[in-house]
Amino acid sequence: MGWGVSPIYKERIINENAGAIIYAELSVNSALAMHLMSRGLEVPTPIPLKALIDTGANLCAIVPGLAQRLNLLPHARVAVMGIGEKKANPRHAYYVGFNLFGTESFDVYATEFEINFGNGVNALIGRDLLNRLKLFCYDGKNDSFTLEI
Amino acid sequence: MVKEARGKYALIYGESLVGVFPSLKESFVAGYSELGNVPFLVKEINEEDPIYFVG
Repeated sequence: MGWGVSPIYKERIINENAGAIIYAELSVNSALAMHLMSRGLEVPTPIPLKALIDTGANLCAIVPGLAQRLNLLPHARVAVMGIGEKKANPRHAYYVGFNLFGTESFDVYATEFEINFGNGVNALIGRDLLNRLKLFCYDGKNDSFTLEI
Repeated sequence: MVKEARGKYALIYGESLVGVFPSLKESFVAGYSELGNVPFLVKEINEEDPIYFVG
């Protein structure tokens, strides 16, 4: 990757049920990492994520328990409506880091949400994060997608 | 307050407003710096709380 060239992640979709999945990492947010380091405290090791890009979601989501593994505390309570739900329910939100491409980290709020797709997906990347990327291209005919920062 | 601060972020601890910041990140930097890693609240200032759609 040269100077001025955006990181591009191109992935083949394994099957149509899987959707656009990116392997990423969940970490503490950068402000907390700096706070911990400045006090000589250990920064928790990032957790591997199998994240589905979900353009229908306007907020990122992680399965319950991941934030606790990073010793994160909830810093917001948000009204969340899931598919099939008739009303919004209050849920905790955690300020987390989504590490993409192995190099870029995005601090966002993510809510805890049961993700039961049965394919190991443990996070959803919503439009709040996608809005900070340059490009998301879903190429259904060629079973692939492209993300560009 | 909402009119002047719409779109900014309120840092709240307990019942107290600690400060208003232009970005989420600046709110958290201030929160960890001034309060430590405690369950403070950071909330965007708007007339109504948004509903988020997930899944």
